[in-house]
Amino acid sequence: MRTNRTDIMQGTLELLILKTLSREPMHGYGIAQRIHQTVDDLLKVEDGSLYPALYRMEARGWIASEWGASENNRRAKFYKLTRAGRTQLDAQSVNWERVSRAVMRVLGAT
Amino acid sequence: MKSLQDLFRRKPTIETEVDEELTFHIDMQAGDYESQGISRERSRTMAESRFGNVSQIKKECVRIGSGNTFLIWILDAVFMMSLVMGLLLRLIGFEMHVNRVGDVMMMIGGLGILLVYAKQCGAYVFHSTPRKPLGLNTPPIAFDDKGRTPFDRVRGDD
Repeated sequence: MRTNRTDIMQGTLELLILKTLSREPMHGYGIAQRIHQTVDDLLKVEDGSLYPALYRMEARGWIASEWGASENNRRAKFYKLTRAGRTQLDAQSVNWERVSRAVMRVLGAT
Repeated sequence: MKSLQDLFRRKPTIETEVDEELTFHIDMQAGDYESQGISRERSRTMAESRFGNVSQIKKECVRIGSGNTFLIWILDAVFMMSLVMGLLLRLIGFEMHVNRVGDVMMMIGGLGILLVYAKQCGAYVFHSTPRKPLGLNTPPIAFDDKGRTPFDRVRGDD
């Protein structure tokens, strides 16, 4: 049986990544796991779609990466939030709340 | 020796890096499935299927990640041209002010190339050195009695 779930909106994945990395540096797999567990059945987030988003965000300077050793001692690329990324997270969070409030207001008006 | 050649040829390491990163993700996912008692082959298939189109994602990441490499290449070219032109001015310039322009251009070009290569060397050294874990704390995945993750369940995979 297919559960009701929503494809992730453009730009939302970036916000989820920023929020996830605001807690601690993580490798891509860790970010994917954390997001899946947090959004659970509500949003559809493809594992693979995470990486182009990570590379785009790194190119914009929102996150930085370095190679390190994973929990099983394998070489892995760890991402961490930069100062620009934290600013971006704050701005996107405020924007997201504003948009969702506006939509809820429209939905509640009828 | 090969690594040194790669460094000076500016061979794009981005492809290798993306490949390693995506392989790590799929291996970890497959390992998690395996640890839940799923066979190795099935774990691999499930992990790859969950990830999506690997070659397309890899291509996309390489395209995005190559931006910096291209910028370094442009900077390198500009500094190299400055150095060569400065050298030429110094060699053919007879008047004092032309010589000074040549000196300045050589200095800018030389310093620029030095900085670009120092950055490359630094990136290469840090890239090659494994570091301590950065405190990753990945919560365990919850599997149901059919060996499916929440992700599989929402996708409707039976």
